[in-house]
Amino acid sequence: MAELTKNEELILLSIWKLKEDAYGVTIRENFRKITGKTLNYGSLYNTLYLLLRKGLVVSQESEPLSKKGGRRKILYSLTREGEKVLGTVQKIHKLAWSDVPDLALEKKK
Amino acid sequence: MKKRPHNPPKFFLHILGRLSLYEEMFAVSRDFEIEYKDISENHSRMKGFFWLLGSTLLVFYHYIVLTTKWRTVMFRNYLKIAFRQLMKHKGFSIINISGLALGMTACLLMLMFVVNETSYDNFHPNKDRIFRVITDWGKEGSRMKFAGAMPAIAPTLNAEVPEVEVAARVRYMTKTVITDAENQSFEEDKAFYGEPEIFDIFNWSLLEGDKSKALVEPYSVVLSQKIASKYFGTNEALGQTLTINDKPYKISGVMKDLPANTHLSCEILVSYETVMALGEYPEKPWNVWGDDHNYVLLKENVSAETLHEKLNNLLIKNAGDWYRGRMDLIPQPLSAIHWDNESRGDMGPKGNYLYVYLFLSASILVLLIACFNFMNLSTSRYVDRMKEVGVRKVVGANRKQLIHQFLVESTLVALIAAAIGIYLFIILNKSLYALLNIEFVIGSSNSVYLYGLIVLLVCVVGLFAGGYPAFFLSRFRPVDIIKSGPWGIRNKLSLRHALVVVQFSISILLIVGTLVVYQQLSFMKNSELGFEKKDVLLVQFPWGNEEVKKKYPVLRSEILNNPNVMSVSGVYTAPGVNSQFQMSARKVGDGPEKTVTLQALPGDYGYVKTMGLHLVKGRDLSKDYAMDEKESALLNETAVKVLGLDNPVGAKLLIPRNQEMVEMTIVGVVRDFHVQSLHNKINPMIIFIEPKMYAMMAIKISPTNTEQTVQSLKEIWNNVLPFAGFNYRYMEDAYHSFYRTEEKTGKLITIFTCLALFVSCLGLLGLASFMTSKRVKEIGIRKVLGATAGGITVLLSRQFTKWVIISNVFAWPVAYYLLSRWLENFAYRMNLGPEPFLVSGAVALSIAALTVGVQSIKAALANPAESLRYE
Repeated sequence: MAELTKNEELILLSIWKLKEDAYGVTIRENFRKITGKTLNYGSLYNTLYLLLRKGLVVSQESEPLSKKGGRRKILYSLTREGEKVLGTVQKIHKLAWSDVPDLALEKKK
Repeated sequence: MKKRPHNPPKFFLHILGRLSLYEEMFAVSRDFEIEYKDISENHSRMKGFFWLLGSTLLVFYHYIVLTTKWRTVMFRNYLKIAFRQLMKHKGFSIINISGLALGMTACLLMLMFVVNETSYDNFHPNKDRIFRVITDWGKEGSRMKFAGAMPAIAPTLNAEVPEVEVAARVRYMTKTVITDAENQSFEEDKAFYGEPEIFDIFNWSLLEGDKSKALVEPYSVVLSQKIASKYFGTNEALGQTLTINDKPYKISGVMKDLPANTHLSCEILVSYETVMALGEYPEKPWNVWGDDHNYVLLKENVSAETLHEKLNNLLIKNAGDWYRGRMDLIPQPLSAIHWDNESRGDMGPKGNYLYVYLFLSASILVLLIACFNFMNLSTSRYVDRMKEVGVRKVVGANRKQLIHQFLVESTLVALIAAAIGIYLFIILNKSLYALLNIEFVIGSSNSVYLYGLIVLLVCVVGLFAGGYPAFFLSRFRPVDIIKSGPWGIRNKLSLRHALVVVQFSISILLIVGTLVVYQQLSFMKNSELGFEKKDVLLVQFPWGNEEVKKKYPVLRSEILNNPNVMSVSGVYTAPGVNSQFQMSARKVGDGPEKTVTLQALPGDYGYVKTMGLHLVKGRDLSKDYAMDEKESALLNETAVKVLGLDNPVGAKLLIPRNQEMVEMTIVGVVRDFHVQSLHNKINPMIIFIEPKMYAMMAIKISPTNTEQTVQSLKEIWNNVLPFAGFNYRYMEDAYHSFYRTEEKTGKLITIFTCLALFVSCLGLLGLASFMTSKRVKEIGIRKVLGATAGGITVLLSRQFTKWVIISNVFAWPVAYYLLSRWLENFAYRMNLGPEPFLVSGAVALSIAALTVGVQSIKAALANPAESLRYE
């Protein structure tokens, strides 16, 4: 099974969450929502490129926007392989964290 | 309120799209567009703009860094390979680089000559508005142009013509002797009288002194830095006194040295008021012309035609109606002065467009030869490197990269060659131009051109010479190359043969040119001139000295007493001397409309004997006839024809002498002789006695013991005229100086022909060695099967011989056309026969045969066992 870096994992997750609306800008926004950090475009495209190469993600051009002169954008979606990997990651996370109390909350107290 | 849509600046998106590596895959610019809209809707348009600007700059920065990095890596690889190739084939590289370097040197040398010639007087900021008034004088058929015009023109223009911004007169000081503090005399030859307005016309800057006051007072003088430091060293020259022609002059200014590329190279500028003070200003300034050069600065947008019309109106108004149709005052543009070979009494070195074109085309031809050489050699070398190209392509190099690689290689070679070429140029240019007596202005206003030229040359050669091999090589498909080796594409290389043919055509062209130039030169030097140029001394009289005229008879008889002197005559001009004196004459009884212009040759009784002229009819001027001193004259054959005299001896002519028309009798006719060079037709001439006009003494001496004779003549001279130096030269040398341009051209063209031939041979050598090396195996097999060494040599050389012969076919018609055009320059010229063509063909053929033959013999003599051993 392919190993994923943290960025790859989060981007994969974002694409899954966004479903039909997954493109550069929204993925980046989602990433920020989860982590609170901005992902710069360089890292975003590089990671997407790797995911495409690993066959976890496919890209396709959207229908042109209704607006006059609107251009197509590139939408991303998970492949079956991608969904499987994401599932595995989730399983690992759940198992790994199952008996750990909420560290972030404890610290705040 | 409806919000305007937030459309991002297209420009930034375009840059982003172009520079991003992922544009195609991810539509990056689209993402940025959406993000920009978000930001500017949620925050402010300004913030969006800056965000986009920042991102663009960032992308730009990364793009630059990345591409430079990778380009450098590849570039280093290209350089490394290029150097390895150079080192691996040392002999080949030397041939290649030296050929190119020599070609560049030759090209630079010639181009600098061209730049130098075409840059005359271009340093004056108002150069387009500056004109010189020249005169065109005479009747139809015998018109003559003079560089100088009437002294009254400039003041009248200043006073009466509003279109003229300013006008000024300049007059050449025919004889300038400066006496320095130690009482030593020096003759200077770049001295002029000038008006203060001249500073408003020309870009002459005063380092010391006041422009508006420096030339106002009589006997004031402005010196150039060079002259100032010659006579005053490091001392302050301003305000000092300088003795010129035995009169004290006050130095009122020091002028910056003028560049060499000017027709008016002035080092000593005396105020024009001095002319009046010396009493040399004519009484009727509208009726005398020739000495004063009138320079005019027109106002903006005034055409030369307007000036032309006004000038001639002024002439008729002031000089009289008699001048109508006889004289034309022409404004000559400043830029045309250097090229004016026609006007008499002009100053400065003259240029000839023919030579400029000749050198321009020769420089291009030599460079072409060198480039072809380079292309030829590189291409033949590259065939060996097909495998490298194939492998590079397989590994992933695209065509662009391959072209880059070969361009880098060829530019590298071009650079090395240029470095060597420029070094040679720097070493050679001074000595070469000194050899050819060209005053050269490198390092002044022309150095910018020089650097530009060099850069251009490297670029052109790198691209042109490297471009062909680069495109040629990168074109092949890797499969073809790797599978079949270079032999599969051998037939496509025939362009190289064409190049060899072109190279040799050019070489042959140059050889023919050299031969014809030298033939014409020797034709001119050896042709029958109508006078004896050998063993005649020309001794200059000090100018304008009354004492000389008094002492002349004494001097004459003293010199004639010397047994080694055959004859002697005071003369105004002589063959080889440029000054001319014209007069109008007509037959007694003819109306003034039949006036003819004759070239006057004032002389003495010994004139005909001294010059060795042949009397055709009548008798020589002689002391035995009392009338000869004042009333007799000789004509040449042309003059007899022009005047239409059936019985010349005894005919009477009306000739102006001492401001009145005098009746003169023709007592003899001499055969035509060439006072001027063979470029010119022989003028109608008249010879008479006029001691007032003597400018020099012509002395015919016996050909034996010339040194002794000259020595004793010098003693006599110094006894009689102690104040005048014995400045002599041989008439033969003086006459040959007419052909200095041709001699220069001859020398130059020889040098460049040798170069071109040498470079062509280098190319042929490289090509021959390459071709034979490719055929080593074939030769081996032929020898094993019984071919003789001689047979193989012939086999290998035959092809090259064929090319050289084809080159002849191309070169001859072109050479014939060009050379007949060149020969049209000469009124008297050689016959252009087949000899130079055949000789040049033979020379080219034998040199080529020698070059190729050595290679072929080497290959033919090799042991076949060596070449066949490994297969």
